[in-house]
Amino acid sequence: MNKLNIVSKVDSKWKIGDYLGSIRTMLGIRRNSYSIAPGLYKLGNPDKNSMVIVTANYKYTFDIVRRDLKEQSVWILVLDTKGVNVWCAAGKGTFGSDELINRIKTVRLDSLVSHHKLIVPQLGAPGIDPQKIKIETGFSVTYGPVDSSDLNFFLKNSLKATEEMRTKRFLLSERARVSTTHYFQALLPGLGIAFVFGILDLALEQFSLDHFFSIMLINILFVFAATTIASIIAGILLPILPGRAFSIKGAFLGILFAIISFYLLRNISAGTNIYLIGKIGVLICWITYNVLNITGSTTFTSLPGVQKEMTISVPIILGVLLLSISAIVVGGFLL
Amino acid sequence: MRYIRNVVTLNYLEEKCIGCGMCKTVCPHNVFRIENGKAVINDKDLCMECGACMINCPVDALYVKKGVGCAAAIIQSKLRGSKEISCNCDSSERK
Repeated sequence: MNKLNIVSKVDSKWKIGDYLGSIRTMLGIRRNSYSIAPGLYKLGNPDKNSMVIVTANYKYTFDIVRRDLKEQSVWILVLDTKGVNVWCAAGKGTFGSDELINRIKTVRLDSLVSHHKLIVPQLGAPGIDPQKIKIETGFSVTYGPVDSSDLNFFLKNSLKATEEMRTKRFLLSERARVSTTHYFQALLPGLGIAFVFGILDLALEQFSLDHFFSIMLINILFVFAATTIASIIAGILLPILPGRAFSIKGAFLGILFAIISFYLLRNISAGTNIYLIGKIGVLICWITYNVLNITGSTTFTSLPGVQKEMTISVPIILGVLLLSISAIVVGGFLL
Repeated sequence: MRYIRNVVTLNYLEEKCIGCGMCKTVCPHNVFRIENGKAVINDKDLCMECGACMINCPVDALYVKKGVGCAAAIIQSKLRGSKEISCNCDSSERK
């Protein structure tokens, strides 16, 4: 018997490792290697009449699905999406018709269930051609709700989802999670900026060890404040920030940050005011760029939309960056 | 939340539509409704071009240039000099 034909049993409870994995991926640590073996899983005590739920092999996705299916007895068919969530994988085609057909055949699904129904997550639809699957396997696709937390309702409601359950929103909890990931991904490059700022400050001051630590600390806090605004604050406030374009939302936060930090730092910063304005200008670009990057994590942006705003905003960001670097050089070292 | 207007490539051929409602079922942004046995577009600007309606339409009445609205993907493809903008991000946030 092929190894892939072995059906593993799982339950809906999370263990400590599952919680740690959820946190780990949120922090962006090795989130590309968090997967489970594709194949068929048993949740509860499914029999030949039990429903078949299809999902991806990103472990965090799988964990949420089995947790949301508590008190159900179902088969969970896990596709090999290379450890990527359903929606992203459907966009790439790895959560797709070919993989689904292949997986149905490898696990010999028709020998385990007497019906020919599959419940596929609605967000998997960009990769799925139900006609092709029907022709190749005899199984018919029913689309489940967007969110797996509605699966219990869906199963009890004779496989019907409400319009609400068919709509993908971008709730505060989801924005908070992706913002946290953004924040941690921006920390290292942010530290790089703070380090360069610190070295420049030190070049302007009399060097002493005491100075070194306080200057580095101030610059780290300065850049971290900007990074926090560009990720956590931007993510939480996203719906109320002005403008449809993310670069406008970012520029708004960047300018706000600039005004506040100029007033706070103008008397304690090294160098001239022009030098300080140059440093702040770099951080306006940093904030705008990071907010623009949130486009990739949202649930509603389109490619031509992002392209349109970038053709305008990227030259402006680069222009402001160049001006800011000039201000640092002129204001710090030439005046 | 709404994004930039008048850029979406979604194209719908009403004469082909058989009113099965598949587009309405799969669309995550409620772009379609069914009226008098035909699909009707509620609001094109809500479309994010995921391509779900196109692949699931049994009569090819819908076309959309499928793409990912991600600034990082656009920058990466520019840096690589490739025309194709794909979601190859190692740290895809939509996870």
